[in-house]
Amino acid sequence: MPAPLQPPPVAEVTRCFHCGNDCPPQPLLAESHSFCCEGCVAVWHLLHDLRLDHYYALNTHPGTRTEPAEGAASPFVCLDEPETCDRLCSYRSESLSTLTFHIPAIHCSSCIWLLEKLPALQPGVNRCEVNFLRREVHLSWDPRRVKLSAIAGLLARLGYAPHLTLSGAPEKPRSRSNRRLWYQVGVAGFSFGNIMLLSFPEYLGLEERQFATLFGWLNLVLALPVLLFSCQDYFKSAWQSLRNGQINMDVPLALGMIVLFSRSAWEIVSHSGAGYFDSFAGLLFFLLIGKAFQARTWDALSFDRDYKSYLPLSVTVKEGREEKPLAVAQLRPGTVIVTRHGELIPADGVLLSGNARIDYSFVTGESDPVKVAAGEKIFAGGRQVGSRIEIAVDREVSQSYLARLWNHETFSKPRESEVTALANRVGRSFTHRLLFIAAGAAAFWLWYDPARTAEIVTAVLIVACPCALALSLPFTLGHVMRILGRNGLYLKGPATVEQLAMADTVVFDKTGTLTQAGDAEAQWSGEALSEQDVKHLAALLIQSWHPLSRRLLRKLGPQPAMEVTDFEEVPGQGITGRIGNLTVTAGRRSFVAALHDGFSDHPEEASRDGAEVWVGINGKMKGRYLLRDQFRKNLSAALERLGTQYRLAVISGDNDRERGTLTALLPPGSEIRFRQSPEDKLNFIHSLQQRGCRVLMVGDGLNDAGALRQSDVGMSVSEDSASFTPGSDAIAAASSLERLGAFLQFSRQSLRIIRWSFLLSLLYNLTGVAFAVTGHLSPLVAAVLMPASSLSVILFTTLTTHLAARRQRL
Amino acid sequence: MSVMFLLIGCSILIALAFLSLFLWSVNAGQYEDTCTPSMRMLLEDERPAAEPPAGDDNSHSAA
Repeated sequence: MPAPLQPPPVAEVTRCFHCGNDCPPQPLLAESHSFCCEGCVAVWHLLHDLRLDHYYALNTHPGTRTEPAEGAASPFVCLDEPETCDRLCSYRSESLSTLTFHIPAIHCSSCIWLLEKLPALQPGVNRCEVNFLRREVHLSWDPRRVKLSAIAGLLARLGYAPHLTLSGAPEKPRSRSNRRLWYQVGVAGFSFGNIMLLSFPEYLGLEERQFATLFGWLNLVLALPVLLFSCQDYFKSAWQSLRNGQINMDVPLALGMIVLFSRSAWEIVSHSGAGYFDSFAGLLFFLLIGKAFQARTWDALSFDRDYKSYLPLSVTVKEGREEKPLAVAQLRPGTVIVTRHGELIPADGVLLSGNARIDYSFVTGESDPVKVAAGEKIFAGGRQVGSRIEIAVDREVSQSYLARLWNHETFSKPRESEVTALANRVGRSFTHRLLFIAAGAAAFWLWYDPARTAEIVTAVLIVACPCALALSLPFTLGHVMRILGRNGLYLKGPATVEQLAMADTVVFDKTGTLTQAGDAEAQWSGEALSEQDVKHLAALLIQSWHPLSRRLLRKLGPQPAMEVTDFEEVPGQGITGRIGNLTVTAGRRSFVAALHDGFSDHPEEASRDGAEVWVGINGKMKGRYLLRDQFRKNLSAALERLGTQYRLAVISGDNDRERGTLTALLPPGSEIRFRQSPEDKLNFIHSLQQRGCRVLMVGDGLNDAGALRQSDVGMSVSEDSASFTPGSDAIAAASSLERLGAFLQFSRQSLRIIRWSFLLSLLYNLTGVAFAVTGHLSPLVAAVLMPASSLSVILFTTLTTHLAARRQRL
Repeated sequence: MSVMFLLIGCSILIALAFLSLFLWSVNAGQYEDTCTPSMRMLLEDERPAAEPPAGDDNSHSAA
């Protein structure tokens, strides 16, 4: 079935037509498309033979790479057992069964297209319907014609393996509450329309006694379901808050509804008027629609955050012998990842090999590492301590889970938030003042024109809308976080935006932040290293993700893997471990000298040309590598821009050989400190804060974790690794660092937008209440204005935020 | 004018019918997934020879 191998015409790296991964030097070819492995070719053939090539026309590289199943037993055999079937299936009968599979690999329209064509691929399947947001397929098939395990096997072969949980049933979604809202909208809309219809004669001023009473009673009957059903949530919320001794925003609304309904009912019963049932039902209708719309927008925002703005972390993925970096977002269950000392484990998995000691302080708060044996489960959020381990990931990365861990109280900093404080203050006094005004208006109108009191009081209660308070903050900050996430800066939470905006000092770490692990040459001086020595050194270096280790490793080239025991990395000093019975150490001279002899007659001062990595093997210091620093591109322009508005500083653990370059890069008068230990860095930040500065620290999380935690905003720079310190408030992809100035400007703009929306809301409220109190506002108009104002706040914040982003070219 | 009673009665009945249809459609889950139908609509079936899968009434055959 697979096409014969042919040598490719040009020796360059092509991408697999199916899954997009790099093809090996001799890619498999079929009809002029290249593929990376047997699995991809097999899927392509399967689809091509059934004329389903449109799958590839819809998106480029829509497939995912799967290992063809080796060995006898298919993992889906258990699906045929009756008890499993019972648990999973939502409906079972002789001729038809249905169930819902969760398939994490669904990610584009090609997936939808292909999966919904499943009946064409597998006879016996009647229907396959995809729910994209939840990544589920709803299957219905004929058990007499095809077994569930065969269907699951086919899905797996196509690259869409269903994710089977032990509990079987997918989580029952929150569609229950959404449905209720729709029911309430339906009832309110029904009543609203019909009441208005029946109120027409009254609008037009026609007087027909007979029908007037009938219509009045009909209106009352039609309004009852609205009162009893559609109003429920507002009543419940108001009652709850009153029971807690507080007045929340639903209290005036509930009050208004009760007042309006009672007055209208009384008017009908006592034949003194036509009532205001049309306003009442209309009020509910518009309010509920506003609620539904808000809920949808909220969902869209959080969906975006979960699936579109990704943590800019990458893991090292092992494919066969090779290892390469992969963005955390693209990690699929079944992949084998390699985790090194200090790296974050992004998803649940099973330990395959290595000596695992996992630090779960991020998850449980316990900093004692937990020993894990091969075959046991490792949970997302842990960090490896020691030599590298291999994990087979069996769940998708849950961004929301990691974000939740990150936001746990233990890592939060007690920082004041000006805007949130303002919002809280205004919110508290708002409802009190409103009720006070409403009472005043009621008193006045009862004296002046009692007939209109109910109408006016209701209008006052309804029209006042603290929407800006409730909406502008979350919406604006939500948008900002999304936009920044798209540009490679991932924030811990909305509060970070404010901290970013209030920062006035930026402190940079040097190594790994301003400099990068580039490809510059590494010079060796000392005793020549034998091949064996190089292998040992490489085996040690591969355990660490320090930029110097990685650069050196790149220079040494691929070397066979070796087992390293007792691996230890001392931040700012070096790494050491045992291979066999040899001790291998690399790092600062003093660090290596403590464990190995030699070079005692060498002059003490470190070289001024680059970073030194001394190497000691088996008790003897062999010499050192010299790695010249490589500053990131576009740095001078970025720093210049920042320098005009912020105080800049650079602190480094290195020696001062780069003083000249740094002085040239930074504005005059900036502090540049060298030979800083991690504590020195922390103290420096603290001293700045004592002077009243608000500090943004940019580091790589390695030996400045304490400083990141101490600063007002700690930003860790991530490049090719899952290096992550929970004390940081933001993670920046290394490539986005040059736009730091734009990010900070944008944050400041967003705070301004929030203040503007508060002002606008204040104006709206003042005008609206003024009109209502003087009797010029009917409750119906007030009812329309209220959701309109919510909508306008949402629109205003969304548009201005995106405009501000466009101005910063984000 | 007594026909008004009949008319009012009928219109309320019809409105009730529509309301129950709406409630039924919400209950049947038609509002649960509002994202996938928007994507599904844009997918074309470019295989004129293949028979359309049963129950999938959103596909169109491209010329």
